[in-house]
Amino acid sequence: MTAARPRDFDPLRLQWLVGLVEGDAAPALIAQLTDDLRTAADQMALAVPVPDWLRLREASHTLMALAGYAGAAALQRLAETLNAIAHARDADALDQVFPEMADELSALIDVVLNWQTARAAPW
Amino acid sequence: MVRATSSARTPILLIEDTLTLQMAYRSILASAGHRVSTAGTGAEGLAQFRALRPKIVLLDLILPDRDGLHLMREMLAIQPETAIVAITANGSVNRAVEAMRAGAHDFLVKPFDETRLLGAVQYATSAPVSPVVVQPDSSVLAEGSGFIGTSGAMQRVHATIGSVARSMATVFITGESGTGKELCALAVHANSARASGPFIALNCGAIPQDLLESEVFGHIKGSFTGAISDKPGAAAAADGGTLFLDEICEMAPALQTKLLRFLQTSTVQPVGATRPRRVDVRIVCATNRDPMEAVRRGDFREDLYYRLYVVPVHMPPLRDRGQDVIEIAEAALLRFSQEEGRTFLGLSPDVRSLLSTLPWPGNVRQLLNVIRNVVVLNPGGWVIRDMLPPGLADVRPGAVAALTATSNPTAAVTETHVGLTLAEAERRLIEMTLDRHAGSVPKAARVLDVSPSTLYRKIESWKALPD
Repeated sequence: MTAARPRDFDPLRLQWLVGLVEGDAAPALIAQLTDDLRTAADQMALAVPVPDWLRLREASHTLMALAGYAGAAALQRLAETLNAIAHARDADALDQVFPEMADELSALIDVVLNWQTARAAPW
Repeated sequence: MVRATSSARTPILLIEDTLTLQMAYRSILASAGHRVSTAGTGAEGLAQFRALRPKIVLLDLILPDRDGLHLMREMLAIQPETAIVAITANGSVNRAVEAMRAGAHDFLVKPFDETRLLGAVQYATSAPVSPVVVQPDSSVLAEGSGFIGTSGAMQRVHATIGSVARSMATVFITGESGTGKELCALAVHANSARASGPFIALNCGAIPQDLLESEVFGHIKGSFTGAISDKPGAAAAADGGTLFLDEICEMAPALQTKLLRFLQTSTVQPVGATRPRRVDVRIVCATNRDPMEAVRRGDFREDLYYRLYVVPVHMPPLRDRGQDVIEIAEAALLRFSQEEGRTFLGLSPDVRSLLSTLPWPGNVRQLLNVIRNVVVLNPGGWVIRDMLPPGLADVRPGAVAALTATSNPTAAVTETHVGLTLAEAERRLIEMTLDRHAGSVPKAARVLDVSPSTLYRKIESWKALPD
C-alpha cells in the first residue's frame, strides 16, 4: 500500500538533509530522523488528552524544525500553529488542529521509512 | 560547501537535543574543518563548557532539562568573551530576540542551510566579541544628547539609550515623523564606545531605489552608467562607527536581502567589486511605520526584522509628552531669538495653555517651525496668541485620529470604522473575524493571513487594557 504523501512536500529538502552526512552515516541519520519524528508524535499523543501544554510546546518546537528540514512545509506550518496554541493554552483550537497535524506527521514518517527501506526516493 | 578558513581549528560546542539535527550540524561543521563537541542537554552542555572553554557555542534555546537563555547567561558569566549563537525554530523567533538582548552574538532560525550555519560561525570567529557592559547608572543619559523634556515617556527613552548605547546591539527606533528619531540615533552613537567614529545617516526613503544599493554598499568606477569614480558607500564609510538607516521599511526587497547578508557576514561588496570587504559597523535603524505591520504585508522581510529589532526604542509623540511641549517651546524661543537678534520675554499664559492642548500631528518638528515663525515675523515681547501662525489654534485633538487613519492609504477602512484609531479598527476586525469562526484563533489567523501566535499575542495584550 502506498502511503499518503505529506502536503506541500519538497523531496529535495529531505535529500539535502540526508546528503549532509557522509555515505555510511546516511542510514543512521534517516533512522534518527524517524526516531525523532516518532518521539514527537508519541509526546503529542500523550499530551493532547490532558492537555499537557508544556509537553506540547516542546514537541511542537522540535517538530517545527524537523518538518522544515525534511521539506514538509504544511506540517511545519501546522506545528507552528500548534506551538502557538500550546503557548496560549487554547484547548478548543488544539482539538481543531491536532488531527490534521497528526495525519501530516504520520505521512512524513511513512515517507522517511520508505526512504530508509529503499535507500532512494520512492516518488 | 563553504570551507572554513582561519576559524577552522576553533573549538565549537554544539548543544542541541534533537539528535537528527545534532548529527546534521556536526557533519556540516566537521566537513568545513571545525572541531566540534556535542551535548544533548543543558547539564551536559554546561559540563563540557566548563571543561573545554570553547570560544563559540551553538546553543538550542529549547532544551529538555533547562531554559537555554539561563544556560547562556551562566556561560557568559563564566567566560564573557564566548560568542554564543542562539538557535531556535521558526515560530519561536521572539526567543532569539530575547537571546540577542541577553548577550548572544548571533542567532539562527531553523531550518537554516549550511551556508548560514558556517557564515554564523565565521562571523563569531572573526568579529570582536564585546562582553556585556553594565552601565553604572543607566537612568541618566550622558550630556549632549540634544533631548529636551523631563516627561515620564522621555525618561524611559533616556534610560533605554543609556542602557544600550555601549553594547553592540542593534537599535530599532520607531515613532511618528518629527519625534526625533535621528536625534535618538545620534544619542546612541554619542554615548557608545564608537563615539569617536563616524555617524553615517542614510534615508532609505529619500534615495531612488535604483541608487540605494550603490549608496549603501558603494560601487566601483565603471560598474554602471554614471559610475565615474569609486564610491565607498555608507556601510564602508561608517566603518568603526554607526550606520543609521532611516525609513528602513521603505527599502526595496532586493536590497533587504543584501542588507541581511551584510548583517550576517559584516562584509560589504560594492557594485562591480569582485571581493567583499569586512567592516565593523553598528546598525541603528528607524521607521515611522509599524514594522511588524510591514512584515505582515510582505513589504519587509521577517528575518531582517528579527535581525534588526533587537532593542526597540519608541519615540513618543509630542501630544503624549505633557509639559515637554512648553520646555521645548521655551528653549527654542531662546535659541531662535538669539539667532535672529530678537528679544522675547517668554510665552504668555494663554499661549502656554494652547500649546499644551494642541495635538501636534507634526510633533517636535512642527512645534519648532511654529516658534521659528513667531520669532521671524514678530519684533519681540511676550508671545501672545495673535503671533501664532494662522489656523494653528483650529487644529483640534480629533485631527490626530484622522491623520493616523489616513497615513496608511491601503488600509481597508470601512465606513463604520471611520473615526476609530487604527488599533481600535484592527481590534474590531479581529474580533469580528473570530466571531465568524466561532472563536477559533487558527481559523481567524488563516483568514486574516497572520500567524496564530500574532493573534494570541494581540488578544493577550487587550486583556491588560482597561475596559
